[in-house]
Parts: sequence; structure tokens; C-alpha cells
Amino acid sequence: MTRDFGSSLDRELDTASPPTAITADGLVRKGRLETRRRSLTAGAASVVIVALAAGLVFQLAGRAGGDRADPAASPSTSSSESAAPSFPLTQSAFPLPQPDPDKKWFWATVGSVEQNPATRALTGAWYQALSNIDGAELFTSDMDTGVTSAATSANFGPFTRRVDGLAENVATEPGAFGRGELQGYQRPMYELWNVNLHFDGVKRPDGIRIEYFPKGSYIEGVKSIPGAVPGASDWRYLSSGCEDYFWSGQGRDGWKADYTCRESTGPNGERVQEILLDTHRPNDSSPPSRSSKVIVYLPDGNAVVVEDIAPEPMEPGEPSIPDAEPGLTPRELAELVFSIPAVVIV
Amino acid sequence: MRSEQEAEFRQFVATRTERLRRFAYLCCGDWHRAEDVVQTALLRLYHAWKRAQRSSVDGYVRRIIVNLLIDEHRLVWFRRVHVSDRMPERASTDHGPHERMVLTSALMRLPKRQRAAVVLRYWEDLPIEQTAQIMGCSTGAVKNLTMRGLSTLRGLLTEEALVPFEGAPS
Repeated sequence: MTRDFGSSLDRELDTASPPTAITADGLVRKGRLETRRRSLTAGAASVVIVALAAGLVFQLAGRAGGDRADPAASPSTSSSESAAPSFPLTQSAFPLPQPDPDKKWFWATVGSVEQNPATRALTGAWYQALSNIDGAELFTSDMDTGVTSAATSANFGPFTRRVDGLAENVATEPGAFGRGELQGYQRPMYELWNVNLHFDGVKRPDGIRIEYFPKGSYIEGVKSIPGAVPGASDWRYLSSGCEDYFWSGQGRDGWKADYTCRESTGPNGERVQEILLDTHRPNDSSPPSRSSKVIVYLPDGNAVVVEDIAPEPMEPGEPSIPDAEPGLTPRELAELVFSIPAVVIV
Repeated sequence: MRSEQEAEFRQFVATRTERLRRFAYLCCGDWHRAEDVVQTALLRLYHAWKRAQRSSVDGYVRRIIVNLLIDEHRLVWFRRVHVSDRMPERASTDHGPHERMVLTSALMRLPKRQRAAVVLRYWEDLPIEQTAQIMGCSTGAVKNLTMRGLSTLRGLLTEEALVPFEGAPS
């Protein structure tokens, strides 16, 4: 049957194929138009970053000259953005405290989630970087409604500033969390969590999470919490890993956190921690859930954590996704971080 | 894009568009949708042309087409043309215009992934490995899909219709 299948189909299609409106000229014209549009968008993002840098330089110049005019008297304070707390040019450190070692600690979100000029610059730069990845489409979810749609420069993200406060963990069960008193230490951080990359040939999109932590607010390296769910990290570190372990708790037995880690360096001396985590669940038929993560320790002391989480079956009993690998390797995630201009975290 | 690269791209479009359009049509059964999908795929190729390895361009475009047409999630975003889920009637054995499209009609009755696998293997004449790469699945899945697809086709086609490509029964 298969011998003449192709030629038989072609004979049928010869009689049925309507004329096409696709022309090389039309495609090239539209392609050029899209290229120009992308360049303009990239240019606009660059302008934002340059304007931000220029603003910081102006602020520094003002300070160097001893000009501490009342901000309220300055015409530049008329907008809400310029009335925001001024940005320092260099990164301040947020050295970790040494709380009671006999108690357990974890991070609780305190204060409101907001945007500032640095988060806006990150939003523009990361939109460019993620939308230029070959073989993938970028999606974003509305933070209020949760509705997912194709990402544009207008609806992407955005990055937001969050403040973490160190709180005592009063839960008694290993690996559980119960919020106790805040210890007093706080650190700002920037995050983006509502974007997805849908790679060609994969049934569902990957989840992408990006976090920026300020200098001093972490210990370099990785450390898991003994007895906690796979992926949960010691409060002083930015990721769990890299030793494999089994986990049982909350009705689940025999989970295995299977880490593959590697250290490398970046083009400007960045220290890079690459982490692959497979979480095996031997008691159910699902394939392992997989994530690809990188921590990049920047020369200015800040650290960036980027994670690509492969899609998982959404409903119990739904057939597994056999090719649910993260679309980006830790090294590819690191390359993205290298392409993003540094920001000050305040 | 440099002028010589653009000339290469134009050449590719001129020589491959009809074949790609037919491929898309065999996957979806709708010429308008096939036209839209091929245009989208070729535009993506235009932006990737500088980086594309010429030997794999065909596979790259077919993969985009398959993704756009088959992936259930993407169908949500593909709103321009609505395609009915209704199956065409069983291929007619009457003499007349329908007879010419008997194989195409039968093909359209296959589930989408089986249809794509059969078309890639036996119309595009691709090896199992490349079919698997384009469809984003394992080689075992391709074998499974094509086996089931061909089996269904045999059930759909009458003996008379099978004659042109299987020979008359002895």
C-alpha cells in the first residue's frame, strides 16, 4: 500500500490544489517590516536603560557637587517616578545576620510588591532576550486575572520588587513551615515569575522564573534542608542541591531528589552554578519532574537565579509527557543572564 | 539579511512553497489554514535564515507547520480560520468527481497525529528518525502512529480504491 502512496496522493492534489497567494516578495517585505519593528523595540529598551544610567550619573554629579537641594523644590520631582527614593550608583550590601542557631528560619514576604526604574529596565531587557530565543514562543500571564497570552513588549511580566523578611519557623514537623516572629532583617529582591516559553514540538510551555538578590544577602553555594520537600533550600542559600536524597512526608514516600551540578565561569568573571534537578516519584506512574537552574554570581556582588521548569501533566491521571525536558540548559540560562545589563537592587 | 542570503531565501520560497502547502493541507484538510500556517512558518524561517543550516531548513519549516497544526494548545491561539472537527464522509466508490480525492478523503479521517506521521513517512518519504524529530516524539511513537494510521486507512478504503497503489487482488 505504501509503495505508491505518495504518487497517488500527488495525483489527487494536482487536481485539487488552489492557487497560492504566498510570494517570495511578500514574505521578504513582511520579514523586513518585522525586523525593523523588533529593532525599534530593542532600541526603545536600550533608551530606557541609557536614560536610567544617565539619571544615576546626574544624581551622582549632584551629590559630588554638594548640591542637596530640597527634592520638593526640584522640577524633576514632579513625576511620581522621579519622586521615588533616589538610586545609588553602586550596590549596597545587605549582610546576613546570625540569628539564634537553635531556631529554624525562613523568608517571609513583607511589604508591598512594586516596580521601580531598575525593575522596568530588567523587564525590557529580559523581554528582548527571551523573545529572541529560536524555536520558542514567549507567553505571559496577567498578574491580576491569570489569563495567559502571547507576550508583547507592552504586556510582558513585569519584574517586581519584593522585600523578604527573616522569620522564625515555628513548625515542628521536619520540612514544614510555620511563620513565627520576624527577626528584623530584611532584604529587597527583584523577581519575574509569570512568563512561559513554549518550545516547538513540546505539548505544554515551560515555566520561567528569574530572581535578583542583592550583595551580602546570601551565602554562595547550594544547600538543601534536611527532611524538606525536594527543591527547598536552606534560608541562607539561593538554591537547594547538589547531593541526591530521598524524601518522605505529607503522605508521599520515597521521592528522590536527583541533582546534577556543575560550576563554570562567565565572560566577566561571573561564578556560575549550574543545577539540574529531577524529582522522581517511584510510587506513581508519572515521569520525573525536571528543572534547569542557574545561579550567576555577578561581579558587583548581586546574584541572579534563573529556573526553567519543564511542563508536567496538569491533571491526575492525565497521560504523562514523555519529552518534558526543560527547553534551556543551565548554561543557556547563564548566557541569557550575561546579556542583561546590571542593575542596582534597592 | 545580506542580499545573497535574501536571494537564497527567495529561491527556497519559490521552489518549496507548493510542497509545504500541500503538506500542511494533508495535515489539516483546509487549504486556507494550510496557506496561513505555511506563511507563518516561512516568516519565522526568514528571521532564522542567517543562522539556519541549509541542510535542515526543510525539517525546520515542517516542524513549525506540524506544531502549529497539531499541538492542541496552539490551536487555541490559531483563531483566524475555524476548522470543523466533523469527519468527512466515508470515501465514495461512485464514479464521479469524488473518486479523484478518495485517498485524501480517507487520510482526513485519521486522527491528527496519525495523519501527520503517515504523511511525513509515506508522502514526504522521511525516515523514522526525522519524522520523530519533526513531530517531537520518539521513534517508537512514530512507528506506532504510522502502523495505526495505515491500518485505519486500509479499513477506510474499499478494495477498488486500493487497486491503484496496491495492485489488483490476485
